[in-house]
Amino acid sequence: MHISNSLVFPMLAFAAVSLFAAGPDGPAQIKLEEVLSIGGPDADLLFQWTGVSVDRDDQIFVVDTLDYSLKKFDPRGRFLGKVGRKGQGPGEFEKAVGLSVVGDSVYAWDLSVRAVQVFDRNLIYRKSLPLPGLVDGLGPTPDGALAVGILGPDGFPKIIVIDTEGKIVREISYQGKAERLFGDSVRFVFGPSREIYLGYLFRDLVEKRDLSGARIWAKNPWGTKSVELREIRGFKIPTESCILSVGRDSRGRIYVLGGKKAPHPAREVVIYDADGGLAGGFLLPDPSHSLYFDHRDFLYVAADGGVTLKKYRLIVK
Amino acid sequence: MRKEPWLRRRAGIWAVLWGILGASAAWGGTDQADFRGLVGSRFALVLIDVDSLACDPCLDSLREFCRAVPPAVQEDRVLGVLTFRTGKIPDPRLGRIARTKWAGYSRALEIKFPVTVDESQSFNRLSEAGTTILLFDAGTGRLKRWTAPFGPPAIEEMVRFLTSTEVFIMEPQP
Repeated sequence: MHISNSLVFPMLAFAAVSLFAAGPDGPAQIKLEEVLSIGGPDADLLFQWTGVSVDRDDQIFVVDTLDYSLKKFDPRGRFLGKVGRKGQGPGEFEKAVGLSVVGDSVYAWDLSVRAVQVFDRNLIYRKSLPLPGLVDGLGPTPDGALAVGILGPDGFPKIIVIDTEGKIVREISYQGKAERLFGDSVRFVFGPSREIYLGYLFRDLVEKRDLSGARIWAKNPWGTKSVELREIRGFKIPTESCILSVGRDSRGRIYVLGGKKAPHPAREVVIYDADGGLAGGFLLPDPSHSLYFDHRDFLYVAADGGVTLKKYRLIVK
Repeated sequence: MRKEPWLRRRAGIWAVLWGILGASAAWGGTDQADFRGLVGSRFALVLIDVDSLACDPCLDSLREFCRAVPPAVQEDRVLGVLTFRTGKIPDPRLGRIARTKWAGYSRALEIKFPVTVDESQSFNRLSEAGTTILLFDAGTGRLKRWTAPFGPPAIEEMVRFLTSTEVFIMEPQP
């Protein structure tokens, strides 16, 4: 196991990175202070982590797609254990791409499996919840249910709400047929007042909607209007990613990580307040495929191509 | 299969590597390199594009190869080379990251052959189309190349080549 707190890359310890900001209160300086680093280029711990989630005891859970595993770390980053191997059986992964800890359950999903696997916080496999599409994201709703982003058999994304047994309770409708984009994918987080924030992988669009699907506001963080499409076997497929990840801190600020359309792909983060006002932004020191906030507002992102997990404290001046 | 001392085997592989680099002008026959001292030695070089590690389907052929080749043969006669698609000399840190990624992947799948990182980018041209396997018979100076996806006949031929003790005549490469 390898843990480095500002030892390996001292330049990054306070690194980082202040950048622009333009809110009603004037420019805000945002600095990332590294508080924990797990794995690394010379460690033997993380190989291509894809999903991270933190439980109420600050234990860190990670899925790693290269060794087909779900791993658990204590709050200081010490390795506690892992489960999983390649396969499609119980507790196995083909290409683990995400996870979410909700209460006492750890939900993990594969890129190509129409189900979510449920583990307990001791990494013991409990069950699988079959779903009507490939899983694209999962998170708790304000009323204790689970919202799951799925890519339906028709190739279009949607969000369904399920109970803990996997029964579909309702669907959150967030785009009309004319707006739908084949092959698109949506990242989402919920706010405390039954609102949902959406970021589209292939559209330069961040939205706030209520749970009935009505749009409250919409933003184009990178100022692009068009969607790059490439025709493959008769299907027009989007190719240039716009929004890689969406996160929310306890103060209600929404963090949007840009894809290839951003000026600094996979590093540029734009912050909106709950009313859609631009509240600031910063650059990550290293490209990351995702960002995640725990319940204490620590930020988790990737570094070194996914062999490192960084935990930062955001300092807003 | 006759067991050889580790160093000799590894020296043989590196001799093959140097031979390939030295005689890389011609594919399908490298008779200009003299490997007669290695009669009976057969090796496989597996060129793995580092970017393919992020693309599971891209690795299907490699997994098939690894499933088919016995672990002991992988250890003795196969060497992996992690290659980069970038046109410039990669940051040494990228090489370390690539090794780490491979360590996790190979351990999970029980892949036994050792790997090196192509820091000099000598194999870029060979692996630009994807995972590539070079089979080399040091005794006859014959070389054959496959680029993924490998079909069952190709896998079968590779396994036969690496495990057979009989004289093996490779068909000319199409």
